[in-house]
Amino acid sequence: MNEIVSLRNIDKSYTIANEKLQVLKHINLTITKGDYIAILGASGSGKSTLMNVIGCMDTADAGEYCLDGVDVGSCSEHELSVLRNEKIGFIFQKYHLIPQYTILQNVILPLLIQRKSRLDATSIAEEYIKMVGLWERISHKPNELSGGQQQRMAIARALVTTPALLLADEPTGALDSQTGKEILSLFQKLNDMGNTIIMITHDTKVAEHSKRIFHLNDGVLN
Amino acid sequence: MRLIEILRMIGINLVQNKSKVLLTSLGIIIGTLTIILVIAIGQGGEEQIAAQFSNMSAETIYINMSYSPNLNYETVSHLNEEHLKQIKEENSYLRMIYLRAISYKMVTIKGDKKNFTIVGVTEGYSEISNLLITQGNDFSEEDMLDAKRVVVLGYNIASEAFFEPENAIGEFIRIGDYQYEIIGVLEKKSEGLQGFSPDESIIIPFSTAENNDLFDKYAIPQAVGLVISTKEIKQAINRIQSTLDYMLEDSSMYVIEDAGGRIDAATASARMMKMLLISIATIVFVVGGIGIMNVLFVSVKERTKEIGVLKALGTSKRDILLQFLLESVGIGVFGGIVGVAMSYVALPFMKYTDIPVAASINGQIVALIFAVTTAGLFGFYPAYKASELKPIDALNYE
Repeated sequence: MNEIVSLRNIDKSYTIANEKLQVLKHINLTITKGDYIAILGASGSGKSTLMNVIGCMDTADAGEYCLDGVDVGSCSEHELSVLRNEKIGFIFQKYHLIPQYTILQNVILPLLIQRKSRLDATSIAEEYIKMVGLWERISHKPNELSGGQQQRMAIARALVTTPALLLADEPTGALDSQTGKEILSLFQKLNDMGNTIIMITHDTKVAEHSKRIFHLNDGVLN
Repeated sequence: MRLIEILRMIGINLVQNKSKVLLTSLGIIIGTLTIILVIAIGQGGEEQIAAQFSNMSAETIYINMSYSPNLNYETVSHLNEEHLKQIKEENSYLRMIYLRAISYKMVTIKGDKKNFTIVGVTEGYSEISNLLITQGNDFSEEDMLDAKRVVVLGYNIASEAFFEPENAIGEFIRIGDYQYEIIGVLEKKSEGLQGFSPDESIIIPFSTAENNDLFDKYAIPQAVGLVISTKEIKQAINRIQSTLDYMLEDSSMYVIEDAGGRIDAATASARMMKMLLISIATIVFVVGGIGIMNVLFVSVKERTKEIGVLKALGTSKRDILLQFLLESVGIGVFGGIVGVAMSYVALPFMKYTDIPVAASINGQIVALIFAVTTAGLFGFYPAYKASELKPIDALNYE
């Protein structure tokens, strides 16, 4: 059971203005535990759609998707939300933190969603906040932090549930190159600790930090 | 998510948006206040009616002139003591009946000239109309027969002119050319349902008023009687009608009514008033509710991204629905409590108006329930909309 992600012949198309647009064409991808891959593609290549499918936020039209042993295609909407919570740690380009909550309140959120008690959730979250180096800022709000700090906070939030997969969408896209490097070295460290990472990016230099690079062109992965 | 955590999130959101919450709850605050005032006014009206009728027995019947705009005061046939005697003789259902007529005259009391209501009455008035003498004596049979110049004063007149009602006994007042001796003072009544306010009236024997020309042409006599029991009211009224029919030239000028009917009519109109007021309050609430819905829609729009994040992190539909719904209910509870608190300030002010109010815990509870229900009902749709958002669409919303 080493396969974390297994995509088989995934198709996805959208209908825009009565025109059917096939965004993903027969995608096949297998990622095993401890893998660190990058999916490289220009804008419009379908990488966001692929990320949404892998992230269980959207469902494929055809094909099979198995996430950590769960057949995603047969999941109900509610089961999908449980999958997102338990199996996937999202890291977004724009961090997507909740502005009115402090770092701690943001980071414990995924654990509270699991109905963990605030006490348990806090002790777990504090560990990860220390790990990403934001301990002194624990009661600050996102807008009081720099971009890099916000992204580290988002990483802490992604890690608290010890997900099977870290799914990062342009994680350095909003950061300057120095800060971007810091985030990438944090990714390296997380991968060394055994985390499975999929990074989606348009930047070849960023992609080079991963172990394997896949290219997505017009919905075809190779 | 645990309910306590959802509530904690709502708490943070509400505190973050203090001014918005305050403005939103304004509709609910006003609605709550309106409902409490409306119920207090309705209740006050009912209590006032109950108080007014409390010393009026349902067996009372009235023979009144049916006023019409083209009534000719010169030619209209007046009820007199003759008629009354006949009515009584022919009617075994009637216990007693008296005649009275009301006119307005300039009266001099202790040197002060003022217009007063003069009520001429025949024997039996105090028993039938429940007017008790608190000081001095009622008219004697002799006073009535001999048309003596004696009066009984209403409580307020006596206490205003003589400070203590007992001081009035034996004093004289002047009406027109003659002096009249005060022989009694009525008990305080605080009501005016008999067609006049006893507290502000001067009572005089009917014969005295007639002999001294105290009645002008507008002082049309009416009769007030007591039926033996409420069961006989119908028969009594029919019998009186037939007597009047042959005794008066035009008996259609008179209507015979019973007090029970009046009580029912007054109660019905009070209830009508209450319903009217409640419907106004309901409209206020609907407007307030639409306000909440509007603000909540804006709030859902503003926080679409946040909803997207919550969904991406795996928050269930139910929890998102609950968060927005309870946020609305929270605004309702807040607005309701503030409204109830404000009613404690507003109700005492109503005392300065003529509107009778009776504050009640019931009113406050009803208003609170209304506030919370309105917030819940109008909050549901926006909350449902929020819960139905697709995570990717919500996340990418700009």
